[in-house]
Amino acid sequence: MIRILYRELHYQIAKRNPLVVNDEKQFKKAIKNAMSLKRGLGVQTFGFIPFGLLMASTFIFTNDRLVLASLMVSLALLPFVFAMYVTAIQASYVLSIGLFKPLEALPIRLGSKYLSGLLFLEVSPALGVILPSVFVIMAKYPLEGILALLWVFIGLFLGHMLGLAIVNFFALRVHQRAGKGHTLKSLVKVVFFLLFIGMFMAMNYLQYYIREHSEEVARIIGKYFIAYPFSVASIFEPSRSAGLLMVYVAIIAPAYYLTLRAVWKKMLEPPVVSEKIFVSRFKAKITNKILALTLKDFRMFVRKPAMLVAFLIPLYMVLPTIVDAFRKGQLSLFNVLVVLFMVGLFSVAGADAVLKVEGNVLELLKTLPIRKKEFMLSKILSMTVVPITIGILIVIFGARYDVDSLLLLPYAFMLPLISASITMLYLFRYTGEDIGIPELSWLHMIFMIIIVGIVFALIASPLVFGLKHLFVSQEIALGILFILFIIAKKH
Amino acid sequence: MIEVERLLKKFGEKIVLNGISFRVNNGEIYGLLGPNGSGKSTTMKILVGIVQPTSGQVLVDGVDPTRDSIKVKEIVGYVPETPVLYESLTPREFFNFIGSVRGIPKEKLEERVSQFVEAFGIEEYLDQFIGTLSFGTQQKVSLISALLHDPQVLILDEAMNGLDPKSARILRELLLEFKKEGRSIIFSTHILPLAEMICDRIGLIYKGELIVEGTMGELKERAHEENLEDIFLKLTESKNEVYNIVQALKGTL
Repeated sequence: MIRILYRELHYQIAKRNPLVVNDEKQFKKAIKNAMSLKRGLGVQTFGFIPFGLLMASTFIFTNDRLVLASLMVSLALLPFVFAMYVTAIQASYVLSIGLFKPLEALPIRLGSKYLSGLLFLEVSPALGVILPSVFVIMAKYPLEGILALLWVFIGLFLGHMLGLAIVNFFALRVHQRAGKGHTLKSLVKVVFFLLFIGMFMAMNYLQYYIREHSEEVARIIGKYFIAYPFSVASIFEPSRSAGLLMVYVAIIAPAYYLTLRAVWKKMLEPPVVSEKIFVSRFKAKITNKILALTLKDFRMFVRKPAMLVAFLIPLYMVLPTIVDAFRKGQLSLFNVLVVLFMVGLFSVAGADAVLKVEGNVLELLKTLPIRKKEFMLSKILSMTVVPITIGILIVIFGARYDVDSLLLLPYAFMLPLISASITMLYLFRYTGEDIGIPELSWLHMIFMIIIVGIVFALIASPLVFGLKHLFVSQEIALGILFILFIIAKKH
Repeated sequence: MIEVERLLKKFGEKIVLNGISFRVNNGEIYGLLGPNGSGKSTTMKILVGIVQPTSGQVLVDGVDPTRDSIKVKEIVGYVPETPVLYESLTPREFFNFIGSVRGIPKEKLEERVSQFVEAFGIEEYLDQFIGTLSFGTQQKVSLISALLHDPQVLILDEAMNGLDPKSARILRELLLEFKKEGRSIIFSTHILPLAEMICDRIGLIYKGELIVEGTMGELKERAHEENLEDIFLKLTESKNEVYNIVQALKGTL
């Protein structure tokens, strides 16, 4: 059953991705991966192994048991958070595509066990991050290593169960209306996602901190030894650790069963969030065709947090600089400049989201009188709104420390526009008037970043001779933008 | 007016439409009937300019969709067999989007949306996400969006699917009114009594070929049958098959 559900889920994911579904070759490849559970999970696990090896390197060069125990505590957070996040997010997706609808009519008492099994499989590639470190401990201390492995599974299971509990409380409700509350929830999900991405960076820092302050960390662990993940540190006291493990199993098992029962009950009949319906007259709000397409994109981004995240990647790139500025109480003109170029360069990442947002609604767009040029221009606009806003905020923030930062404001507008125009002109290079979703793979993305990088290097070249050549650089940027505009118009 | 001449469409090696020809005059409702997978939807998609034909000629109000698909899309209102809509928008947002993209003047959009929303009874759903609406309500949203720009040509692919009796009746009356105004309408449905009732002429597609075409009277005469269902089953060689299947099923029940 789980094998069928896995195949159906990944088939639906491929089918809903316009970048895949409109390209027969890509679609066949995606289906091939989706059809094989081993292949799908194998590819994901393989992707995690480099991180795992990076983490394991710390364990190889540490022999102090106290430090090893502390490091294991920090590592144990990973499976827990990963399992909780993946369970909560994937479950919402599984429910929204109605994967369990065919099961609802069958005489099944606890269909949610299949959801749990399916999501547990989705979570399992996380082992690729943790197992190398566990194997290192096993090689050094076999019994402690086995206990560490068991704790890793407890962490996965605990996170998975909490993820299901989150689904039970939040996802299994039917919200019928758009509103501020909905937008707020989407933004909260985005913030959680960003924190999740940052986990790997934080983990590296945490490992460094533990090595430097092992005694202080040991004191905290000793104080909260019962609670996960501090309980993992008990591996060097095997009998206590085994006892604690049993207590955890005894508590988690019934809680898991009760959660599953509640989830299945709500899946069969999700409670509808009753909202007052005010029937108001239709008032037309007409706008320009290109703007209408962009506005539509943004409405959908706000309601689909996973897509909004792609736009916030440039924001994520600049966060360390902002935090550093706050810490040091200064932000140099040069730093603002670097950040603006980075934001511009990484706005390329938005291409994926602005194309994916069309979902499987391309057929609708094809029935409307929209030219390829108009569609492409709307996508350029959609790609640039967030990076331009981030750029403006960075310049204003920089002006707090150095008013001259305001001189960099034109970059905040021009660089994302140049980046998005180059990307879209390249992607929409196919002949014909018809709108379509062009092919976009990781290789394309890397190629685009290189091309945009070369153009940015040209723009930045006068700055090598000092910031006094700022205006020359901006004139070059303006010239490039003008040329791109002419090409786009003739497209 | 719609003119289709020797239309051929292949998907890879598979021939989906094998040189079909027909014409829909102004002020005419043309019923395009056929079993599932016979090529009706592909024909309609070619007329709208969504799918490119392999060969043959198509003219919609004198415009060739393969040469000027934008012009065709401006004059055609198309309802697909299953609603294709942005599920995370509300009908209110969706109608404004369609109005903006089609360049419908504000007053006209306001007037037409208000009229159709009231006629099909979806006022209370205007601010709900389209994805949370029932199939029937989504179909109404799709239908209204196809009518907003006052199209000269209507292409309706099983547009009655999921509509409640009241809305189906309203749509039927609307189509008759459009016909009186001289618009061309192509209509596909599996509800054969409805086709019999409103279509001026009927074309029957079977395995990618237009096997028969004419008024109801002409079809009856040709097939020596009294109603459209029997004509349909006879001409698609399904009548004996249906009888045999039913007998076999009776044996297993």
